[in-house]
Amino acid sequence: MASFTLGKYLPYNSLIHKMDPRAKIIVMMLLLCAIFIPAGFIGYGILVVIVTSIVLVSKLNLKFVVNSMKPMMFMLVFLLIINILVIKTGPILFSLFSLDIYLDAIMQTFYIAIRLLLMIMITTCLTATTKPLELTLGIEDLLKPLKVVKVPAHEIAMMISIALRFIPTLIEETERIMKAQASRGVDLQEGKIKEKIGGILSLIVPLFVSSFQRAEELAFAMEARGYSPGEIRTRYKQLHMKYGDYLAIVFGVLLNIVMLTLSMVF
Amino acid sequence: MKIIDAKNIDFSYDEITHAVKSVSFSVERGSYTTIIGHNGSGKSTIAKLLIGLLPCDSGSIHIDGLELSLSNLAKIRNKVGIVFQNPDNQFIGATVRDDIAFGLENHRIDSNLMDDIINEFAIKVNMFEYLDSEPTKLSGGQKQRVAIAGALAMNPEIIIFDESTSMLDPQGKNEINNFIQELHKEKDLTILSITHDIEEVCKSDNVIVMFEGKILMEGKPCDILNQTEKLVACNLDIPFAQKVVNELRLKGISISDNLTLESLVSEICLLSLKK
Ligand SMILES: Nc1ncnc2c1ncn2[C@@H]1O[C@H](COP(=O)(O)OP(=O)(O)O)[C@@H](O)[C@H]1O
Ligand SMILES: [Mg+2]
Repeated sequence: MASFTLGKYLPYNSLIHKMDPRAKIIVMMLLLCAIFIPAGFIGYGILVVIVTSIVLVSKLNLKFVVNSMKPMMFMLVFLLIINILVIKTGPILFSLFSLDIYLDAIMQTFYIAIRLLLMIMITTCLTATTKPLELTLGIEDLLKPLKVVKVPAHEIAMMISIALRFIPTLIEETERIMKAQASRGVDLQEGKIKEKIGGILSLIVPLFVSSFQRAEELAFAMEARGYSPGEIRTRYKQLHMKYGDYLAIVFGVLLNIVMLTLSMVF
Repeated sequence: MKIIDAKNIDFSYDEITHAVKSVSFSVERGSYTTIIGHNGSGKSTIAKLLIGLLPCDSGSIHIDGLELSLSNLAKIRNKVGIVFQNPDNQFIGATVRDDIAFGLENHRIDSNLMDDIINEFAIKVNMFEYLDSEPTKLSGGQKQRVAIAGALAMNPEIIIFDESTSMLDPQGKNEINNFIQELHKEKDLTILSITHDIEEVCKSDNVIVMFEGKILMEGKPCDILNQTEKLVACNLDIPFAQKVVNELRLKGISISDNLTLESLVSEICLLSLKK
């Protein structure tokens, strides 16, 4: 499961790591917004510089982040072909076997690639610099205003944090069941489709049974320790917005304004 | 003084599983009581009834003089802590620290006070160095110690252990058992332990034997554990020392009932001196 790197927390000590999770989530949203404002070449140039410097300040490995684009390559090539066939505007760049290739087709594909790359960089940066628990606390706080329209903010956050807590346990369990089934002759790697489906079922059924068992026991344990959804409870981890956090949010808003202006000018 | 008083409690999961049948028992304040019985005899169900995780079909339960009812539930749960069998399925927090905090949060303890409480109980269960560890990095015994810390942090008067050592390796088992013994000695904590460990039963003040949802026997371990046929008939183990006594009697040697190896050994030594 070492390949499961997307969305993994990396415990470094950086300015971004120390930011308040709420501020980080808001800034991430603002950056994602900015990406979708069509502000032309200059706009994307600015964004690439900003996002790259955020990644660098977080002390994350730039190569590692860019590498997570690889699975996307196939899709991009596919997109490029479609764009070449469909988009017929702008100057003709060159002709390939009597097929005219327009500049806009190339540029559109390039913009989409840049957007994807930036999105991955931003989200990776958020999850890599924020502990899952802090992330859920942040989400809980940001969803709190929605309580007016009956969004159960705390319950959602509790569900996310329990899900996160049990991911490693369930991975362990899956590996254990796989070994147990393999020792009974179930082959998950080879065989015909039908055998493979049978093999996967022999994995999923016991996993579900044990997960329900776990869920029941966990619910009992939580209730026994005084948990009751909907009741007021205090919170151990307190979040504190600092000067820098507000600054980052202001910066995010400004960036959007700049992008909007750019998109109107060009 | 009775701290737990259960009268004629009944519970069925559905039409066919009548798990607890008109069970009555009481537990003295500060005592160490064990419950034994075959798998499915209703021990866990009783534990869940006692802290109101399941509602009795009939009968009444009093904890420290308070009747267990929906309106008293929160108060009762302040008095009773429970540690379950599976170490993984009762670890709620992302780290040891967060897990101990979980109960404190539910009891609305001020967050400024939490760190001190967490540290105190982490030291108590010897998990201070592991405060920031995630559950996957801990052994079963360590996770159970965190569960005990979580229960202790609520300042309960009673702690129920529901086969809390049965999924641990022998070392973890010993560690937790010794810890429970120490805990019982130093505080006037009432302990109710559901167990399959017959040596633990020998050390307890009182033992309740469950069989098919009913209480079969109840009393001092020395009075219960020598009723070998009855215990064997309901699939229960008997202490090793008692087994030796039984075998010696079959050989025609007259010897009194012994629950611990030490007393058995000293009696055998005395016998050989007399010869
Ligand atoms: N959630 C449940 N639903 C239905 N029946 C149950 C449930 N839990 C336990 N039982 C049944 O109730 C009886 C008593 O179970 P339990 O109290 O867990 O026994 P013990 O802890 O002594 O092994 C058993 O027959 C068991 O199958
Ligand atoms: Mg049980």
